[in-house]
Amino acid sequence: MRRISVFGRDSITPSLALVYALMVLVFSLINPRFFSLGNFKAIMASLAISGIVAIGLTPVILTRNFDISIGSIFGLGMVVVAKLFNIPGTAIPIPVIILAGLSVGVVIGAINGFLITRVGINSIIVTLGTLAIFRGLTFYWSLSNISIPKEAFLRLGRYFVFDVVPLPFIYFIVLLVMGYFLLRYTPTGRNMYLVGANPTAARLAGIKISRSQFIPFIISGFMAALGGVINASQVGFANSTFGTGYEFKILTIVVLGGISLNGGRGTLPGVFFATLIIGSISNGLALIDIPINWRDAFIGIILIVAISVDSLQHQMKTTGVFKSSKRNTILLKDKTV
Amino acid sequence: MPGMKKRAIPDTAILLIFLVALTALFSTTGRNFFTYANISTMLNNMVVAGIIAIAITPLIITRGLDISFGASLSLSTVIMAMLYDRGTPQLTCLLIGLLLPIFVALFNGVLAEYLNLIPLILTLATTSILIAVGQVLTNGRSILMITDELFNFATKSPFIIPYPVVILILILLVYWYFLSFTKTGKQIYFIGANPRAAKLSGMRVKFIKIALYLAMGLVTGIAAIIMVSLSGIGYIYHGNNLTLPVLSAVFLGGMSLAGGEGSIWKTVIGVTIITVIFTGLSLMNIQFYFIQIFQGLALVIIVAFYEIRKNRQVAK
Amino acid sequence: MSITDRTVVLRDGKKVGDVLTDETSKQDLVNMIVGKDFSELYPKKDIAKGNIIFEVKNLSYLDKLHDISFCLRAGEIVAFFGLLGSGIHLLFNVIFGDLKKTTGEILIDGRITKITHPSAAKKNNLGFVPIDRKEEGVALSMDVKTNIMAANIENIGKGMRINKRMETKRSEEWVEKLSIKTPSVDAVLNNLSGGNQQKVVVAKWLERESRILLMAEPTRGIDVGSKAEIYKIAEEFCQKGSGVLIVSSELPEIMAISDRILVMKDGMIVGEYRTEDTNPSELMHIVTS
Repeated sequence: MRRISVFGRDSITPSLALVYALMVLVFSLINPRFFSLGNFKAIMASLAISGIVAIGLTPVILTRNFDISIGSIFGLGMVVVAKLFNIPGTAIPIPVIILAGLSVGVVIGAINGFLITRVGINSIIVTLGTLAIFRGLTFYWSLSNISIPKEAFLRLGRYFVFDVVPLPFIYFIVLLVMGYFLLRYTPTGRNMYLVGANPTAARLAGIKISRSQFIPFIISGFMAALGGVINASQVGFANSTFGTGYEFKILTIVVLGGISLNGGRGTLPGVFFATLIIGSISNGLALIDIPINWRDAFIGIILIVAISVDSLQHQMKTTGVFKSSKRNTILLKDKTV
Repeated sequence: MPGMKKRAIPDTAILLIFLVALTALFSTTGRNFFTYANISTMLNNMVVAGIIAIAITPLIITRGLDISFGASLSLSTVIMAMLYDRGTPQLTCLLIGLLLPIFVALFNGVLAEYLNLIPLILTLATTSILIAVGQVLTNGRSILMITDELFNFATKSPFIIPYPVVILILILLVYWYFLSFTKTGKQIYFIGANPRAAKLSGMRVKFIKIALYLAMGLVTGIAAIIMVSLSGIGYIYHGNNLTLPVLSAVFLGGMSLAGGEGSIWKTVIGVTIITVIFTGLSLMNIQFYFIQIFQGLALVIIVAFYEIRKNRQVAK
Repeated sequence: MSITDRTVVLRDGKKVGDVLTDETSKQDLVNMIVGKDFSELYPKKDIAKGNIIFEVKNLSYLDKLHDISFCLRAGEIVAFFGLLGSGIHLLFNVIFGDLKKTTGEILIDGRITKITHPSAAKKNNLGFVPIDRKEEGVALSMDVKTNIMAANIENIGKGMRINKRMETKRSEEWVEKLSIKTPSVDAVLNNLSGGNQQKVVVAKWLERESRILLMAEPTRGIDVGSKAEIYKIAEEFCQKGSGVLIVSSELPEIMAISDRILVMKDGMIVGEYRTEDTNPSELMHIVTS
C-alpha cells in the first residue's frame, strides 16, 4: 500500500519537542522547583487528562469538523460518575459506574455525529447546541459539589506506578499509541486523512464520507467522558462547573500539535508534545509568580500563533505562495466553515 | 418557473408560526406574560443580544464570524466602570467603552483577513485573552457604575418604549436598509456566495469584511453602554449569558455558516424566539439551567428542521 | 467522427438527428447542433488595427514568469499558447491584480498604471474571464442579474441605493444581446448550462464597458453553439476599438480567431508570430522542443 505523504514529511513534532525542552529550561532557571520530581509528577498526572481529550478531538479536526461540546461531555461524565457513587443504599460496582460515565460520552458523540453526518447540520451549530443542552443537564444534576467517597476509585486517578509515573499518564500513552496505529495503519484512519484533505476526491474514490466523519465524534465523546471520569478520580468530587471552556484549551493543544484546521494533516506525536507544553503552562506560570489569571491569555496567544503558522503552511502547500483566498473556495456542502 | 428558488412555505413564515405558537404556550401558563411590565422587561433583555445579533448577520453572510463579542462587551463594561470609579468623566468613560470593542474587532478582522485565519478559532482565542485581562483587573468582582444619565437612559423615555429599544429599532432599520437596498449590501451577499468570484469581479472583499467587523465592534460598544445602564455594573462575566443566545438566535433564523444567505428579519425573529423562551421560562420560575437546555434544544431542533426541509427540496 | 457508427443529435431536449456518421459531414453535424446554418464557426478577421492600447513590459512573477513583454492594439486579438507549467495560466491573474507581480510595468494607452488589486484593474477598464467559471467567474447560488451586474454595481443607481428596475432592465438587455438561454434574469445561475454561464461572465465585463478583455480558456467545456457565439462577441468587441487577450490550449481556436500568437514556455515568451504566418505544427514544435 502506498504510504500517504502527509505523515512525517513536514512534521513539526521535532520543533515542538524542542519548544517543550526550552520551556522546561526557562521555567527551571527562573524557579528550580519546577524541575523537581514531585512537580513533574503533579504536572504529568493532570496533563494526561487533557492529552486524552485532545486525542479524541484530533480525528474530528482531521475530518474538517469541530466539536465544541467536549467540555460539557467532560463535566457531565464527572457528574454522572459522582452521582452514581452516591446513590443511598446500593453499591454499584466501580467498573459499571465507569462504563456508565463512558457511555454518556459515546451517546452524546453519536447524537452529534448523527446530526452532523445524517441530517447535515454544520458541526459548529450542532455541538454548540449539545454544549448548551448537556451543560444545562449537568447543572440540573449537581447544584453543589458531589464528593466521591470510594477509595478504590480514587486510586485509579491518583496512583503512581513505581511511585513515579502517574497511572493516568500511562492511559494517555496507551491511547496515544492506539490512536497512532488507528490513524496510520488502518483503512479507517487513512480514510479520515483523505476525507479531510480532499472530500471530493475521497468521495469519488468510493470512501463513505459520512462514516469517516461520524466515527470521530464517537471517539471525541468517549475521550471527553473518559477524561472526566479520570478527573473525577483525581479531584475526588464533581460539580457543575468542571469542563466549562475546556474546549478552548483542548483545541489549542490539537492545533499546536500540528493538526491542520484545513483537515487531512497532522499526527498524534505532535499532539503529545503540545499536551506537554500547554499542560505545563499553568504550573510553570504559577511557579514563576505570574498570576494564574494570565494563563488563558497565554494559551490564547499560543493559539493565534499556531493557527497563523498553520494558515501560512497551508497557503504554501496549496498555491506555492503566501497568497490567501484558496481557503475561500466552496467546500463540501456547508458542513465546514 | 423552472430554475427559480421554490419554497412551498417560506422559512420566515415557519419561524413566525413557531414564535406565535411559543408565545401562545407561555401566555397560557400564567397571566403575567402579556403585561406591560413583562413586555418591557423582555424587550430590554432583547436589546443587547438583539443589536449584536443584527450586527453579526452581515458578517456571517460574508463567511466571517466573531464570537468574542461577549468578552469584548464585558471587558468594555469593566473598563468603563473602573475608569469612572477613579473619577474619569462619564463621557470619556463611555467613549473609551465604545472604542475598545472597535479595536478588538479591528484586531480580529485584520488577522482573519490578512493572515487568512479561521474566524471561529481566532475569535475563540481573542475571547480568552479578553477574559483573562478582565479577570486580572477585577478578579471576577463587579464594579458599580450608576449615573443619573445612564439611569435615565435606561428607565425614563418620553416614548412608550424605553431608549434602549429605540436604539434596537434604529440599528435594525439601518442594517436592514443597508443589506437589502444598497450596493454594498448586494456585494455582501455576492462575497458570501463566492468570495473568489467577488474579488475577480473587482470587489474589495477584504476591505468590506473588515468594515463589517468594525461595524460589529461599534455595535458591541453601544451594547456595552446599554448593558451598563441596564445593569449598573461593569462585570467580566456579563458576556457569559450573551454568547449562546446570540449565536442560537442567528442560527435559528436560518443563517448558514457557509455564507451567501441570511436576512436581518430572520435574525430578529430568531432573537425574539430566544427572548420569549428565556422570559417565558423565567416567569414560570424555571431554573436557569433548564432555560439553557431549552435554548440548546430549540437550536438543534429548528436547525435540523431547516436541513431536512432543504434536503427534501433538493431531492424533489 | 472516426470511431462512431451512428450519431444522435439532441438540441434543447429534443432529438433533431439520427444519422450514420459516415454519411454526414462535420458541417452538417454542427448545423444540427446549433440549429442554423453555421458555415462559419469562426468569425472573419478583417478588423482594422489601431494604436497600442495595452502594453506589458518586463513582467515577472516569483520564479514562475520571467520578463514578459508584449503589446496589444485596438481591434486585435492576441493569443497566448503554451503547455502546463509554461505560466500562461498565471499570467492573466498577475496582470489583473489577483497576484502581485514581482517586477514589470503595465501601460494603458501609454500611461504607466499601477494595478495591485482587481478593483484597480476594473477601474482601468480591464476585464477578466477566468479559467474556472464555477469557482471564480460566477456566484452559482445567485441569480443571473446579480452576476451580470457584479462588476458594475457602483453604477446601478444613484448614491448608495440600488435601482432594481435598472438592474433588471440592463441585465435583460444583455441576455437578449448575447442570446443567453435563461428563463428569466431572476433564475439562479446554477441552472444555466456551461456555455450560458460563460456568456454571463462575458456580459459582466461588457456591462462594465471594459476595453481590454482577458479571457482564459474561454470556450473550455462549452457546446459548439455557445462557442461560436462567444467568438462572435469577441469579434464585435474588437470592432469597437477594444482588444482581447486570450489564453487557450485549443490550437484550432487560436489559429482561427487570433491576429497574433505568443508562445510561452517555462514562464517566458519564446516566440511571437502573426497568426497568418504560422501553423499548428510549428507552434507545437516550439513548445515541445
